[in-house]
Amino acid sequence: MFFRRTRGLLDFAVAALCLWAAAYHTPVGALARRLGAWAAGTRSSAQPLLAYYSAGVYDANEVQEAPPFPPGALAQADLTPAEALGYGLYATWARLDAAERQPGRAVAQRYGLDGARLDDPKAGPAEAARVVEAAAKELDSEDAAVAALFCGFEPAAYAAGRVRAAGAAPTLERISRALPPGFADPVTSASRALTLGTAYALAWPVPEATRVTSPFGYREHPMLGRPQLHTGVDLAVPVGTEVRATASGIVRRASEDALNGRVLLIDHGRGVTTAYCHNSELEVRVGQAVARGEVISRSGNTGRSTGPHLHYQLELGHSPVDPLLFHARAMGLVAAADLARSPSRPTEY
Amino acid sequence: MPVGLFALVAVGVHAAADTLDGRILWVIDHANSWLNSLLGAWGLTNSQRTFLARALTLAWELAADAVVALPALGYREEDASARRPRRLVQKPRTFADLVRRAVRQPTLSRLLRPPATAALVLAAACSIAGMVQGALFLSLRSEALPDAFAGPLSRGAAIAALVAVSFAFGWRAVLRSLQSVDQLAEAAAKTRLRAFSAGLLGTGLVLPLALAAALDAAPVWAFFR
Repeated sequence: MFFRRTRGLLDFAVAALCLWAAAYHTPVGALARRLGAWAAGTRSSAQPLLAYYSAGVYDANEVQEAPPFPPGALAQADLTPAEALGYGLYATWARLDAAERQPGRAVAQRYGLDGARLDDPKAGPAEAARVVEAAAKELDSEDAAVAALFCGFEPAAYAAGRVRAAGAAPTLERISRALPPGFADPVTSASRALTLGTAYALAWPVPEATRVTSPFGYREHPMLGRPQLHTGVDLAVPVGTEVRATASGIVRRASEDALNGRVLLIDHGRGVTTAYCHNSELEVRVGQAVARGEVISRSGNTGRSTGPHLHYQLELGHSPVDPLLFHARAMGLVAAADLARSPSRPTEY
Repeated sequence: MPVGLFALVAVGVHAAADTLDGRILWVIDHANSWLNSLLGAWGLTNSQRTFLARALTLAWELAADAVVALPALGYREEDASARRPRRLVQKPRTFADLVRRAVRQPTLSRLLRPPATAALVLAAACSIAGMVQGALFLSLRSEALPDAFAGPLSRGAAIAALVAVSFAFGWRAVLRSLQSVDQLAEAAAKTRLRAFSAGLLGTGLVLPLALAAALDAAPVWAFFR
């Protein structure tokens, strides 16, 4: 009798554990939670169904309101990766409320840094970069350090430790999977900061004085004659101009089609990809690792094109964004009127 | 109990599907490149390919849930010592009976689906144990318990959860899987070929997920490191 009761209790506890895990770990659970919230008239914290396959990181919804290149950085010729990450961290930090900033302040204090400086628009980016640099030394991972800034040091250190125990490198995606439920929002912030930081560090594929003949955004298509979203920028370069990788990455596509001509797609990690279209020659192949500044192709006039140019496209979280918003010196070439409207303009898709 | 079993298998299916998402994207990438070279048109944008990969994974996961998790809702506890009603043909009821029948009258589903369910259940047990460990460790740490206590305590709880889920519920999920494929084979027992191939589509859906669960989603050793 006693054993039967104990067993019944154990079964009940295990069933409760299974239901808890299913509710927070599966799309079926997300559907059930949404249904429950709808029935109760409350707001569900369940993520969109497809987000359950990305561990909630590097998705388009995180950067849909991506801020333009920080005006304070415009005077600088090129940002170092640490500076760019600092701007990405600050751009994300500035969106947090007071409660969400507490873990980051605690991490700053841990390294004897002034957590209040993180709020300062001028000193914030550099301070955030310093906090992450110090945390990265202790955690031996930049992704874990950025997670620490938004989730807190202990959760990030714990999750990084679990990922290492399973024999893998602690990327943000794996750290997110190793965290218990309740960290979805801080992980989204960490992901956004890493994506923006990577995008701010991008170089330009052709000489920076190159004229932009068609900007990003909706326009009357020159060949189709109807309004269509132009998903990148057209750069006026003669056929045969060297096209360089704007950051290190892996070539995900090197092919030719009727629309884009000879096209390259490079994955830079952390949700950042760039595409280079209408080339005359491709110098790299699929799967190849390329370095920042490496010649990857020669520009051309292939595919659906009205003249020699390079179509340069930047995608954050799998959605195209205006590359000019993420490049300081190129942005300096844009008219002042464009600059004036860009700080409050949400990115178009 | 049946709802808990359903949840357990669903967690395992998702843990496995989560590891397949990247591979599906790779397949779509290559199919797209091949179509490009064949038809000369860039069929899909980067975001469309990612969306398609995830949507396919979701569809696959839900279909696999229907095949292996939904039957768990039909699980019923029976007292083995209770007197069985007399019937002309005695239906096999115990685990041993069902295994014996699977060996004597093998079908693809009888042979493959129970081990596949076992692999999914193991992946689910690892997911659940990881959640228990994380939640316990972080709540103990916030109570200012030193690492020297919080670490071993949460690890012990995770291993206990791993063992409890695998042995208290895991075997029931496998038993229910055996019962379900047994019923399937019996229903299609008119010809030997039909019986042998009964439930083939469902098994084909579940098998890659089970492989992914066993290879990528069940890091049992990580709880002991």
